[in-house]
Amino acid sequence: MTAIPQPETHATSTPPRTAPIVAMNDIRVSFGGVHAVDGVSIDLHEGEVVGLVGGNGAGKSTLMKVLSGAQVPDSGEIRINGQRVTIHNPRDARAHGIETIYQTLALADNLDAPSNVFLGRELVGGLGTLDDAAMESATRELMERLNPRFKNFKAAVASLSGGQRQSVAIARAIQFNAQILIMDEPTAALGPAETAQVRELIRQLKADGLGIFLISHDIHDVFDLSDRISVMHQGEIVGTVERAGVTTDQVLAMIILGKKPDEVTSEELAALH
Amino acid sequence: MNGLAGARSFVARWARGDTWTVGLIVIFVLLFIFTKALRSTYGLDALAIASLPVAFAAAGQAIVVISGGIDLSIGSVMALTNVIAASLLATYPELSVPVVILVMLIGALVGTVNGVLVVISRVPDIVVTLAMLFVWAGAALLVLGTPGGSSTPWLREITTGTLGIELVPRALVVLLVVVGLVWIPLRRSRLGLSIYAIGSNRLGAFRSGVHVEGTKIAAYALTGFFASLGGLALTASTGIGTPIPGPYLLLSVAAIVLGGVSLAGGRGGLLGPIVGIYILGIIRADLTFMGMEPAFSTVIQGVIMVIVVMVGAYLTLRRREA
Ligand SMILES: Nc1ncnc2c1ncn2[C@@H]1O[C@H](COP(=O)(O)OP(=O)(O)OP(=O)(O)O)[C@@H](O)[C@H]1O
Ligand SMILES: [Mg+2]
Repeated sequence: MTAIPQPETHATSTPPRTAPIVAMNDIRVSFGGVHAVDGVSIDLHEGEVVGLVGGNGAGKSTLMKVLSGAQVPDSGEIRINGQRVTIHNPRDARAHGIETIYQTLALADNLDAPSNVFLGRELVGGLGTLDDAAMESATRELMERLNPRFKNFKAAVASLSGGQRQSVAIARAIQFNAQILIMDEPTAALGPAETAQVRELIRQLKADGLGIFLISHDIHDVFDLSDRISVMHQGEIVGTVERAGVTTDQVLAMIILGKKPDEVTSEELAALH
Repeated sequence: MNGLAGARSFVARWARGDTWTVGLIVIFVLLFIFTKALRSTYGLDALAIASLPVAFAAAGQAIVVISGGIDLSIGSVMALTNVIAASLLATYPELSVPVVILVMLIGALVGTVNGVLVVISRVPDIVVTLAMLFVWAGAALLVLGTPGGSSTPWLREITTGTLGIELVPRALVVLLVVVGLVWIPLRRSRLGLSIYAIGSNRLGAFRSGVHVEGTKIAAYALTGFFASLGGLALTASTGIGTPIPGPYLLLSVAAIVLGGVSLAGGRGGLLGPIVGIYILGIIRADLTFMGMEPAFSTVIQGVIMVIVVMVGAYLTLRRREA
């Protein structure tokens, strides 16, 4: 993975320089009568963190499931590095370098950490037998970086703490040189120390040149880590703003009222306080 | 790592990971000693022969339950393969080896049909396989309307008597070799891990890129294959084909519960259920020998199962809290 230098371009309002690694255009998903995602377009660049925020049920997870192959959209197109792609299932997404850390942890509880990290892409030796030793040592190496205090490589992950389980989920996502990382509430189940660790990791991955979609209800997390922030409301994008060009209050107003900052009246804004 | 140390650490790892099965083996040994005291002529070979069909059924049921499903049709598939084997062997006695192989393939095929139906219908496993219970039972009656047909001598020979010393019944050796030949490589393969993964967290496994549907079908195919081994064992021990399913479905479920396989999926192995079958078998033999009325003996077996499973649940809870 090449680390590209990050010019400080936040002050200008021009979109980031290179072509996007992900461009989702006019994505629609409905469940029965519910338009969970209703014509959303969003993009992501190399080395960029895009925060995706919105109230409960705004459609953030559904939109990201489309990109990670867990939800087939009704319509819309996805481009990866400019190429139009179809993503029918999580295997397709992974083939395009897209990895996901789900809001509800998607670990196989009865398997150990190495098995979870490599699930679906196990290392095999001769005769097609699982290479447990190689998988374990690769997992140890990763954990050295993610969570040095992690020692439980043989236990079923059901017996691990929330933070340890999240480390396993993150290890799984970055083991395979992802280019695009989707993190849906990565710190929701974590204590303060683990949260700080995950934040640090996000910065590190960004510096490595990964593009990251970060869904979070913690507005401070989002402001701390994102380059741009996209706000969703009832299945639509209210707006995408440069982090440096907005205040937390403005973003909160977009989340709650579903309007861009310049459309919000001062009475509406006052009513929020 | 040298071979002996490797083997020792393998055994140690297995014992640590599977204390439940070790406990069952201890219980079985104690029961066997008790039985010997009761009746010194008692040998393991009778138990091993009587247990062979249902032990194969338990192994097959365990695989599909680990994958998060259940196969209610297992007894019917055993009856179907039993009668197919008996009628073909009666007609083509000189082709006994190809017939046996064909019957195994039919078992795997029948299991595949079960699995495909579960996957494409999206109806719960328990409903689909309940329906298939009737379908395969009917098919067995179509093959053979009344008990009949015959076996072949070598099937009986490989499962009867003991090897060398009295403690090693041939039927047990056949069971362990066959199950081991399938299960040990499987357990060490991607498919094996996928079976545990989909039973553990189906959605999570799908999101990880596991071929959930293919894995499920493979699990059912393996269960069908083991059911056909059960059917062949019935042919071997009875010498004929019987189109009416025996009580093997319930016994197979009882054995996997006793054997430490979680009915919720994702946990357990094949050895525990096999030991479970032996325990149920020896208890039944003891109760019969002590002159217990059959009805009452069934009640006692049920009570013992409830107690064992409750103890297991209690131990699991304590381990969680610790
Ligand atoms: N599988 C599904 N079946 C039916 N409706 C669904 C499904 N998944 C999501 N929805 C609906 O789609 C809408 C968007 O849900 P989504 O999970 O994307 O919201 P979200 O923005 O991630 O919310 P949260 O912040 O609570 O995680 C909601 O109304 C939800 O009820
Ligand atoms: Mg969500």
